[in-house]
Amino acid sequence: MQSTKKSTFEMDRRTFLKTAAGGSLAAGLGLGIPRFVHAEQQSVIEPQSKVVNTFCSVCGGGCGIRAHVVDGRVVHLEGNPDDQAAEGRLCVKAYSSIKTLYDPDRLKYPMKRTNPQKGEGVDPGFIQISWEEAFQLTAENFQKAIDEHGPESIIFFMRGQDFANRLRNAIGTPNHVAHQSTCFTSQVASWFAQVTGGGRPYVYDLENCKYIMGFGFDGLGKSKNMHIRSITRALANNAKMVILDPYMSVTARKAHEWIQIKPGTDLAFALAMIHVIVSENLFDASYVEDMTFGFEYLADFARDYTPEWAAEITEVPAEDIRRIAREFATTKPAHIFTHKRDAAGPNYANSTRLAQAIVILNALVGTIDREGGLLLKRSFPTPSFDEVFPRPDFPERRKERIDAWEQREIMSRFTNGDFATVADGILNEKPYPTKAALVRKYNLLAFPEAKRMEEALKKLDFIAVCEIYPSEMAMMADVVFPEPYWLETSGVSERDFFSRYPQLAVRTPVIEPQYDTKGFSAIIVELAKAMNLGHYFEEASGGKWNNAILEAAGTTWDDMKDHPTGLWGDEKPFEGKTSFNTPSGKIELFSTVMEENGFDPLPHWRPRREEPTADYPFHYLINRPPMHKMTESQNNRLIMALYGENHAILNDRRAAEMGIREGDEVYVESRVAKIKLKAKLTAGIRHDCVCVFHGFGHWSQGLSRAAGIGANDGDLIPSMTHEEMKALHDPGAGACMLDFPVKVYRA
Amino acid sequence: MSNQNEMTMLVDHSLCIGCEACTAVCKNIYDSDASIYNVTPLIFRTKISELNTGQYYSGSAAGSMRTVYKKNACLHCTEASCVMACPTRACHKNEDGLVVIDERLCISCNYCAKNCPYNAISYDRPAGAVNKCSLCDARIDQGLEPLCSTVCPTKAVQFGPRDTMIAHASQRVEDLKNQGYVSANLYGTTEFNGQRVLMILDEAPPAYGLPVNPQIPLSLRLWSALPLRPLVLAAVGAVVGFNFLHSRKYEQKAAEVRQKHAAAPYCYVIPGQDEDDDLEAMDRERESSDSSS
Repeated sequence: MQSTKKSTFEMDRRTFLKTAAGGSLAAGLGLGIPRFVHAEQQSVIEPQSKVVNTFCSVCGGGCGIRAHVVDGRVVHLEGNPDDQAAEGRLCVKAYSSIKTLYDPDRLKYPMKRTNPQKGEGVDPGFIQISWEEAFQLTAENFQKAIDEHGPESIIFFMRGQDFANRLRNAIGTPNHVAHQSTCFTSQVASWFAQVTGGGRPYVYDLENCKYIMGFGFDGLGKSKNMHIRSITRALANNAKMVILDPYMSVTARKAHEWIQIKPGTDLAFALAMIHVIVSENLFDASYVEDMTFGFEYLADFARDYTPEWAAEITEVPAEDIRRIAREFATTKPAHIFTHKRDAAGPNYANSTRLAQAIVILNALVGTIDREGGLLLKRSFPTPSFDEVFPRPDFPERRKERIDAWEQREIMSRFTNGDFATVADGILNEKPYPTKAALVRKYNLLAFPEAKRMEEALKKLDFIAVCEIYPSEMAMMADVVFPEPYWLETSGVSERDFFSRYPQLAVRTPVIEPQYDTKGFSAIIVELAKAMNLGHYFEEASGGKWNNAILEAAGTTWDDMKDHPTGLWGDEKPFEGKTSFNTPSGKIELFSTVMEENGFDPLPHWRPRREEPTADYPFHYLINRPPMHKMTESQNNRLIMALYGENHAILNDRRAAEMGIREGDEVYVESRVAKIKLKAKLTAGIRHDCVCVFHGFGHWSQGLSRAAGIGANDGDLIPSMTHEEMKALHDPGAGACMLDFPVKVYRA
Repeated sequence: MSNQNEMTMLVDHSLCIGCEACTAVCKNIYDSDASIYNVTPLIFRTKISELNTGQYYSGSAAGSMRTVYKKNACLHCTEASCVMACPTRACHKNEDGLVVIDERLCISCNYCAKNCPYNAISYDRPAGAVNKCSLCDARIDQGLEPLCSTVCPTKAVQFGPRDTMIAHASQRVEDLKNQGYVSANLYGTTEFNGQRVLMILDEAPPAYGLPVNPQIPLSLRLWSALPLRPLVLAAVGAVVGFNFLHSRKYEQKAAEVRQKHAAAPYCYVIPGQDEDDDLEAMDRERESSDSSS
């Protein structure tokens, strides 16, 4: 039956090709045969397509994908129905990524800079070079920096990656700077101290939840596949959702209650909730008894944090705070979801305390690692890179870092580094000069105070960038290493954002690489060889590492590469954990780890760093459109057709008072910079706030679609000096991404 | 009245988050720019819009405006205005009762688009035909679901037997009412004798920009009923003739535009959008360069 269908179809297709050919001829003659005559047949994807298993790398979620390929072209991406993360669906970013795969602006071969001038608007004069020359040139310049200024004069800007971490250690530099302090270190610190002894989990089981609360979390607006599925299933199951957010985010739009809280005061709301739940005995007594430590401190701690006290600070009526606290504690299961850049992300000086308070609240209602709440990740054992690829000893390296990260008592345990303080370190040579950098994928626009970061990068003698796009960071590069897009690569993912049970996904190349690119692990190994550090990578390759990960899970690459579903790991019934990786073995409401490290064991009230002033009367908010992925998607024509520009989003009445109309150009100005945007007016934002969406303001002329559109929200965020960060004394070492006021005026 | 067992699409707007996943997939498959990278802007078979409307019913934002998302696409009316309006039967009902366009018969008179009460038909100028959602009729022919309902990450779009969809929707409307969405309703069971796309709304239809109890105007009924076909065909002949002559002129210019885009293929001007505008721009450019030289 299937084959009959197929052959019929093929005939149809041939007929159609003829029709299409005839059609173009006819069109040439002016008969106007439309070009989409082929499309109806294309929509029946399956019979004509070859299906390749892969997983998505737009975000860390790693949804399993069945990629459909026709005539060597990827035509459709389908969520893998057997995958717990994808459940047969994908998000808009994944569906649109085909246009990124085929973006002609992508980097196609290794290049070197011929124009020594660097910066915005400067043509780097890139010329094509061989891979050999690219590695040689990079190795020479790194070696020069090492010889003259020591190994610490080299900075790695990238996410932690096993191959790169080893090269960094082999070189002997302590400087590895990643983006986490602008994203989620506040939550990492609190979860590390109070619950996990490690990082924080991202797995939400909201479909079993009856009462969802969020402090500024725009889970629906971020449009992560598994999160939007979980949240909307809860809504379909008649759960109630309450969202606190000064801006009517997508999640607030779908919420039953939208609380327009004053920015930076969410901690006061949370403290008042603890007050109500503890003083009225509304907590889950058995969970608190069995799973938590330090409950006896809470009554004293929360005594003065009454809803009336919080109402003054948050500008939310006390009766609403009290009612919501009671609803939250008595509707079961209830959960406060929190993720990255919500109010508990590193946005304000009190954000880590809010993250602590959220852990306490979720523990009080018993939904940490329980159905209906936030689940700790279930994963297979991971192999040790050092055991799989034994290595010689690393050289000694200096402790002091260019971003002063070693001074962050808790966060220095995680090899993150700090986007916010690195510019200060480079520009002022604190504590020593740095000369060269190896960058992977991070865009210049993603740094707080991007213009200052640009100055810092200009001060370096040599920058090598691994990228797929001619991004702004690539425009600063002396050597560019082009990487393949994820649809052209192999890999293994244990998936961070949904893992109720251990399940690995395997990726095989959906199409052959279109350009002269190399995978990142291979780039690192080749660079190590060129630097005479090849002995650290004997026998090491990305393929062998993939196989090692699979072997630790009980299978092999050879068994998985042609596997029908590309997934490894069977569904297991969920069992909630009964012990946690903290000194007491319990969830620490009173955090002994915080106390040992010189921080407040309980999240006492602390105001934000900078309140609005007469000169800067607005709060600044940053959000993202659902279709875009940070600064990576603005050259994608499909995504830009869906969301083409960012705006200064202002309250309509406030704007009218200021004489600003829809579409007027306005400046948004902070104490460090100003950006020009078109105004977008809505009733869905507090009168004292301006919201700018992230990802726009590209200036690289290599990005033909993205360049010159909108403005970069991050230009306004003041970067921090080493001393300012130390004075902040925040366990999460957050970059205070929103903790400064701005002014808005007509351009 | 629609057959209760007809396969029907149900769009639950209370679960639509406006992410445009459906739009993206539809554009990947149905975009009239067949090249793998380009996108024809402005022509969408399905597209989400944001509408500021309604109210929060409780909390400190109670009474303030809320924003809802509306999936805009053809609803496949049983008694379809567009089918009545079409002079050439390009816009017609297929065997499954879905409203589809036969592009080869379309003379781009746009009368269907003008008569659609939902603005669900767009004119694809470079293709020289109107374009609209076909509910993926080729997929339904093969026993598959339309793309929208297979890709929606929140399952706001579903597809199934009509009675199952209506039963599910009725329960959901009740649930929404109990949650405080007192105006929740199911749209499409009676409108134009029933539609193949039903919509759960958590606000009244006007809040979603939808007409209440819409009727086909008498003028359209007359136009559809009167034996106008010979006249119409004559008119069609004239239009086709004009189109042919016009296109001969157009052909040369179109070739120039293509050449220009081949030289700078990824510049801002998108050839599919409105080539005439582009041609005029080229003419102006040529004139100005002529005068300067």
